[in-house]
Amino acid sequence: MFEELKDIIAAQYNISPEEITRESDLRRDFGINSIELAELVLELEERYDCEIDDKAISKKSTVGEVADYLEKELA
Amino acid sequence: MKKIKKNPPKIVSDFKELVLTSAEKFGDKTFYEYKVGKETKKYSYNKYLSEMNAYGTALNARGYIGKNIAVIGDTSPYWALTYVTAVNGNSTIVPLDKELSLDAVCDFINLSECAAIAYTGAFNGKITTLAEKIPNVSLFIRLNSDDKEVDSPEGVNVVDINTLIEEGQALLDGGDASYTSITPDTEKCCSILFTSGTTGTSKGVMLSQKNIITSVNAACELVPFDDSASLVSVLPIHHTYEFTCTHLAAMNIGASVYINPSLKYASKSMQYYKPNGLVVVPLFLETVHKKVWAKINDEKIAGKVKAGMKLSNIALKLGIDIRRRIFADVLSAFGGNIETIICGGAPIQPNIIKDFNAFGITVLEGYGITETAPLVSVTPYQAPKIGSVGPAAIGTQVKVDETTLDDSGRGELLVKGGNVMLGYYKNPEATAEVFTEDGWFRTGDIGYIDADGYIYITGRKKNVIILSNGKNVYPEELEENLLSCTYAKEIVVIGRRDEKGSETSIVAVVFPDFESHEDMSSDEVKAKALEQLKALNENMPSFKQVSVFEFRDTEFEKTTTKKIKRFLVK
Repeated sequence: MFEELKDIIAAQYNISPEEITRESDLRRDFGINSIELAELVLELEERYDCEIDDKAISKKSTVGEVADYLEKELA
Repeated sequence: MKKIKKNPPKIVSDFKELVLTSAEKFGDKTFYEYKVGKETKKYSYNKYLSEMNAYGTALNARGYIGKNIAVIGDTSPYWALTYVTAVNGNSTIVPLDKELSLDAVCDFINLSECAAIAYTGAFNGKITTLAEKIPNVSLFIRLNSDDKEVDSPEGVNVVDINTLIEEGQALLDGGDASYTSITPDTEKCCSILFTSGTTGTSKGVMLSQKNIITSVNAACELVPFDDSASLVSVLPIHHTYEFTCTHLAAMNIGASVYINPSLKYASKSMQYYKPNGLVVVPLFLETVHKKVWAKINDEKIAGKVKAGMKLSNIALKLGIDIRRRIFADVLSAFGGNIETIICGGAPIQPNIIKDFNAFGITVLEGYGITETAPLVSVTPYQAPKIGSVGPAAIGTQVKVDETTLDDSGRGELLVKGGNVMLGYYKNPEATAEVFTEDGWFRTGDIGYIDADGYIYITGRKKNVIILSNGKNVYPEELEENLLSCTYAKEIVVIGRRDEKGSETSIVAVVFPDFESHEDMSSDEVKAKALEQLKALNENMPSFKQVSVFEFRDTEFEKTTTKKIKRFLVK
């Protein structure tokens, strides 16, 4: 899941995939704001054809935390 | 910019006149368009009036008109209808933030002595818990009748809004005019708005109909919208900025409003509804601006775009507007028809306004705070000045407090007028602190006024951190929470702008409690502190969470009264 998420984030926010690690902080390291995070949730929903709780995602700080959450939800 | 309003709005004096006049003028025209599941529904001006009268009549028959009523949940026509119905009956409405914790919701409801609560789907499943904690609430109004799941525990008076409307309509049909004949009391408190997330640090701003209606009239006067306007409601409805400047002003103008179901659908809503106007906070414009320039740079067409902007500006001076043609891609981010955006709630960088103007979108910056219901000023569409929030709106006076002037002629902005609040709920001390002896309201904002009367905001006197999404974060509330950390002695929370000056991060500067943990190394104390602070941070709603923790090895510098000199913390 992390690898997939990394590609999505890289494409959506124009970030080089090498810069994205599990510890990368979405807000602090990439400057992703609440609107962009909401758009990411929509992108993930469409890709995985599921409904994602955006409030739950907004409480996650790092890419790894979001990946773990998605893995659990999609299991 | 020189747009002439085809159907200028009427100056109204109270909520009753607002709803009646709008229904008379715009009748079956769609006021709201909104989604319920996958279905799109429409709600007309006439329906608003008739349902308000029925809803109010039922509430009156049940003994709730005249009492305090809380409303919480997602934006919907019925959220708005509850607000207007209550106010029109001289009740006091208490709009609450749906992101508050359940405990905070209960605290605010108890503090404001509400007798009823109206809520949308998100509160389904929580009614039993809520009912136990708010014993004085005897009516629970379910606003979203389309919810599949109905939470109606035994012994709790849960009623669907449609049931109330039907009940009220039957009473109206039988000649009950007890609600419709109520004379509006425009001077009494009609709305209590809490300024932060806990009862300990929050103040309840008391607004009257006169306050809110002054803002509605001013908003309608200052923006170029008329009944051809189509807007998308994207901001949280419990904010007085959104409710007054989008919902109530739109009603007076005769506009149509599409309700964006969730932040994640904002972009889709724009594509679907293709609004020609928007009321937003800077974060929206900053996000689109960032995206547009990222795309331009990515496609290596920055030179061409800048040349296009130059060319279109020259053409514009010659009276030829080619902006919408050459920047169609930018406009499409908002659906393609966007003409005017009102931006308020936080300061916006002038270069973003300039870029949008060059792309063919007029951005008008406004200024307001909850205590002024909220509108103080908007840079007028007839004569905008970029970087200014415009001259004082009609019905409002603004001046700089001469006693606070600094070397550059800037001082605290004071406001007087029909829009200024009645005071803080059950807090005469706090009320006294914000009014001068001759009745001017102290905004806490620092600025100056130019020779043409245009206001410029340059800073803030109060500690509040204003995020670019318009949310206010009170450092004291965050510090109170974080100071439960047993490894921290002093904490100061500040807002810090990023290098480009656009995003504001919440930073906590921490002086660890080395003294109580002498057996540990300073690094160990800091590590333990960080661990606890991160856990405490999780207690707060996401927008109030600290994003950076910084440690210092010395205590903060204090005043003679032992207060931390916060202004030294950068």
